[in-house]
Amino acid sequence: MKPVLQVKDLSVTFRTEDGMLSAVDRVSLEVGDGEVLAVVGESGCGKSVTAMSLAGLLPRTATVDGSVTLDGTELIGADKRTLRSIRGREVAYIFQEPMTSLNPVFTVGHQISEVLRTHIGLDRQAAQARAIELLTLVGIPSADRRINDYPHQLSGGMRQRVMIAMAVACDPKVLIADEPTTALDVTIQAGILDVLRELRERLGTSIVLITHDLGVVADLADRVAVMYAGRVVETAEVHELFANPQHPYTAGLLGASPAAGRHAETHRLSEIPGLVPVLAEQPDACTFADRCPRATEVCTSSQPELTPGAHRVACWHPVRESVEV
Amino acid sequence: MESLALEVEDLIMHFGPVRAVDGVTLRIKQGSVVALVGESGSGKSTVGRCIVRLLEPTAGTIRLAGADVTHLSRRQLRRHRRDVSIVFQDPAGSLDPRFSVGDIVGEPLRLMRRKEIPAKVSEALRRVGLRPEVAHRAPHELSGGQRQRVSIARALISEPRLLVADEPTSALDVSVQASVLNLLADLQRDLGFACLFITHDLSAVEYLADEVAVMYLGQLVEQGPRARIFGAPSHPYTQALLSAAPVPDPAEQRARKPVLLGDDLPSAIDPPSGCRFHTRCPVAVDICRTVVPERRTIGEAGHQVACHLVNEDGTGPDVRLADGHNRHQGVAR
Repeated sequence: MKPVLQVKDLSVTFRTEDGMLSAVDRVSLEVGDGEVLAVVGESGCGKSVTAMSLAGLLPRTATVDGSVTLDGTELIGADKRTLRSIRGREVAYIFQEPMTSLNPVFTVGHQISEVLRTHIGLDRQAAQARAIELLTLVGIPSADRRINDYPHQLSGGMRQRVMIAMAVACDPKVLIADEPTTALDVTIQAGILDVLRELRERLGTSIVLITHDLGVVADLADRVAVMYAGRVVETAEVHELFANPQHPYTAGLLGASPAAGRHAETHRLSEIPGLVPVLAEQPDACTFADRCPRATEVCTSSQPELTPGAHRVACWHPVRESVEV
Repeated sequence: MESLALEVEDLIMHFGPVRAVDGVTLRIKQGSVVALVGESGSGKSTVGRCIVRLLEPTAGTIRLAGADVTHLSRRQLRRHRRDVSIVFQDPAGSLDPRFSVGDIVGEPLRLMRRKEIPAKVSEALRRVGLRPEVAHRAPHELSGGQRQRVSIARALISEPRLLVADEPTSALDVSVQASVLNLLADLQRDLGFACLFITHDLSAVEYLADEVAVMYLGQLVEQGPRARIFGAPSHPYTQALLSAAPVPDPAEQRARKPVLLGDDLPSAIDPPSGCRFHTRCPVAVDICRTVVPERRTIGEAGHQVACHLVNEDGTGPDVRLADGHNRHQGVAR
């Protein structure tokens, strides 16, 4: 499958008051046509920075290296005009908190219409009609009335649906969803995940799903990239990753989530001791080594590269389950 | 009869027109963990705050180990505060940045003789897996997980009978969450305090709780033993809630069908008539819209449900099987 979005050796460093901070280190990712790629990791792993760098949304304090190509067009270092024509139109974002992304003084209909008029050049009436279509598409009942609502008149779930409608207004090739359901209750979350699933199926939109929630990954992703301290440490097809985690960090994350039917009387959650390192520069070592139960000398003196193949892992001592032949 | 750590009787807490808590009755046995689950706005945190008496209830009674604390004055409360502690979601917000960790943890003991406090603080820190030297540090020097351990040490230093843990792991990463959940389980087993565990995280509930109480819009809709609630929930809302929480297993998760309830949570200012859940319930009938369902004990002991459609033996509709109601809020086809 030809990738729609290809990220190669992406590195991001920030200048901060406390010196340099390496947030993303030589990350490579591919997203195929209509594919859902989940980027998973805990706070500070670089997943959101990776997402923001995909269309030049990072602040000026960031230094970005590497390459991001969308259907062959290079985005890193692209001029403002190119970026503007791509953002919103070819690559669209939805964020965690819909309330802060919507303008409180305009109706949702106005805000969706604006996207359509700016990017596609629809006239007022056509934009309005299309806005109603889009709201219906994302499962908002009586959309023809709802377009006159202001964001504060909608529930959190409805707002996120409006955000999705805006994001897919121009039929983007890639939708980047950064923790799209984290601020929502589970009964609402289920509906939003359903909308994303349907968009992929009906419109063929590729989705980069940034999340920390392994349940959401299990629900929606085709492929998963696990990030730790700025690096991709493992990537695999979703069923394979959950059944057969190879990186000790991935295995640790999976063991740390309470599973159905388990109670503290008889089971213990696996803990990952220590903290995620904050790095000024990336060492030539495995950044997980000092928290890893399997670490040896080589882990602290040499950086493991991702293995080739469909299930890739960057580890000197991967967890090999007997499942493999 | 087993002795009770906490008895909440018909608790009502209104904030002006907002009926945040509207008639909650709840008991916690000595040394047991009751999880109070529900979504944002269900009133679960307000119940917790009434119990530790950060709020004075509008009506109802709260008894701690038999003593009525519902309307105690601030002075009178001071004694009872030793019997009940609270841990909040955000340890950064609940630890005063101007004090050292040692001062924060020892604060509940300030009425004790000064000399004895440092030893108690060291002991409390050790119990939550922190080195005693941490006492000299400031909260901001610690990680989120460590700060939550400090909150727990502070909450337990007065050896309370009841700990109210309000979303203690929700702000933490998965791997840190695991260590805090393990810690709470260990401490609870070793020290034997009763615990009201307030959370929206159902997997944590199954791991930690003995009993589960489910709240919706200010009222309890179902409560019972953990195995019963997770294995065979009776209330349509409980069923929907459990079906909606995704499980971290792709094969299992994809075989499940979440019950979609629609996005519009009714307001606590003007809650729906009859059963408050009827506006989102996939199986609601006429009586649900007009008559408030009574709480009834059904099937096994301790299992209570407030739903017209559940039979005396605990059987009733299962919204997870009621096809056709599914995905009515999904994408238009």
